[in-house]
Amino acid sequence: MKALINTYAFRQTSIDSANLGVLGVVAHPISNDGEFEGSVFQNAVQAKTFHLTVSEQMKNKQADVDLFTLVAQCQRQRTRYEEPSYSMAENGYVVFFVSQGPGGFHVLLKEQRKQKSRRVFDSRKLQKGDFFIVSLLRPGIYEMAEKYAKAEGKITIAYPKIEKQPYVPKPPETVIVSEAGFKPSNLKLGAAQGVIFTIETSKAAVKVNLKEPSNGPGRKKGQTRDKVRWRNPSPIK
Amino acid sequence: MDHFTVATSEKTFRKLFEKVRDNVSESTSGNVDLGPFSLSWNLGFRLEDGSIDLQGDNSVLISELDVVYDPVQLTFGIDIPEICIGGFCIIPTPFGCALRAPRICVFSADPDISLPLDISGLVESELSGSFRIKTRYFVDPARTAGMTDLDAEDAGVPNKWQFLLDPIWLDIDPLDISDTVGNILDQAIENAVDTLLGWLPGWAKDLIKAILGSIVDLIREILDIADDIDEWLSNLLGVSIGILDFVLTAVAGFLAKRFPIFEVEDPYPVLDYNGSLIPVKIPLIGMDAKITEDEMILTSNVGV
Repeated sequence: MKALINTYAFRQTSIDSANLGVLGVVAHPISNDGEFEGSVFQNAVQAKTFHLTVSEQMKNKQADVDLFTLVAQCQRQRTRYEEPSYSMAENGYVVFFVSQGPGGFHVLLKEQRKQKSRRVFDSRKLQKGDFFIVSLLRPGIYEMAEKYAKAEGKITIAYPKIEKQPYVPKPPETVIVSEAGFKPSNLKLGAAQGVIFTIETSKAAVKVNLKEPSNGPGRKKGQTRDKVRWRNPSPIK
Repeated sequence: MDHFTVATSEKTFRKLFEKVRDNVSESTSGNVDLGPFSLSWNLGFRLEDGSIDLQGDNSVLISELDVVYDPVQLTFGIDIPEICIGGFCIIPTPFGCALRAPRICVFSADPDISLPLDISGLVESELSGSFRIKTRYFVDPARTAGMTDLDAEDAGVPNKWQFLLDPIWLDIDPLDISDTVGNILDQAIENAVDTLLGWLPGWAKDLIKAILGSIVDLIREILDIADDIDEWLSNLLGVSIGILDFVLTAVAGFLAKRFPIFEVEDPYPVLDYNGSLIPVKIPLIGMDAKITEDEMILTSNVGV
């Protein structure tokens, strides 16, 4: 029997846009064509670079960059010089995600023009027009916080019910992140239902942290199952 | 006219048959890929009960002979679907989705689930058949060329006249499957899934089970079990594995070739060793068996 279970997806209880892991996704829009150089950092150490071409000749409006695969390939090849490249159409989005592993990623993107480069994106400081998407699995109460506006909010993930029909998560909820904070600031969701944080401020870093896990109906935190005791009908006297 | 005639009653014949019947058992194993799932098996059977009716047309009718299937150990290899999160639309437009969240799989590739099902003794069928008595002269392969009849008797390898049940026809009824098999299958599915997800915390198991829906229904669907589990299992054992053909072939082979219902030593011992006197043995030729409505009659002549 073989079961390939993405263990990190079940372990992660803190999802941070500045420190990407399995349950978080960052999408950044690029409106102009050009050549871009990306640097991937894991735990603040540069792990890999990649190349991104944005051109009106491309049809795909989205370039998905799996940071885990990118770095894993680098480690397997034992070389940093085979630079992976991605391409997409202008007015599209480059999407950074982590398919598996412990995470801890951030990305810098520089636009290269006439032998000069200019930083256009740092995933630790999301910009207006960016998206941060999280899918929370562990039922419980989460605290959401935005670093620069000092905003706070709450997300409650309901405990899943096992029913005859398969559970399908509802469509994602959208949360606006602005200078005024989160809107809405209190969400009640099902497990694996997405939350799309739409960044409407010039600088944002969103973190979602599990505060109070739910162990399901009938079992409270720290509560153990009742024991079954056997008694000797004729104990030694 | 025959020199010797020996008759056995129907009651005695039944006793002789019971001894043969209790020796009949066979097992088989194998595996097959059935598309949505794979199946491996370890199957065996034995015979119980049955009634004997000697017929006036020189045949024996055996009916209501129970075929008890034991062991019946089936192991299904099933791919359960990938479970992924994400994949939803972030920017919907009238022309489609402009930006979509990547899918991240919590079961990253089709995980295989091994589902063992032990229903030994819970599957039966009835066999009946008509037989003629086949007479065979048997020379034990262990008897060497230089052995006299006395040497062969001393070594326990004498020649024998054997009487076997040679089938004219054999019928086997459809499989009779216990009602409890459905419950056993459902429990086996639950156990297999719990084993698969064994190390995960309770909430994660509940989430996966919720996403899969009723795991029992899902696996029953993969196994193509409709409402009637009896029909499904009968089809699986009968058609996919061919257990009925296996039983019929094995029973016919056992009765017609391996286990004689009666045998007579040749030459037939009349007097044992007596001091210096050697045993007296009568050589038998042309032995034959005939069935009437009341008895089995063996006839023979003396000679070499």
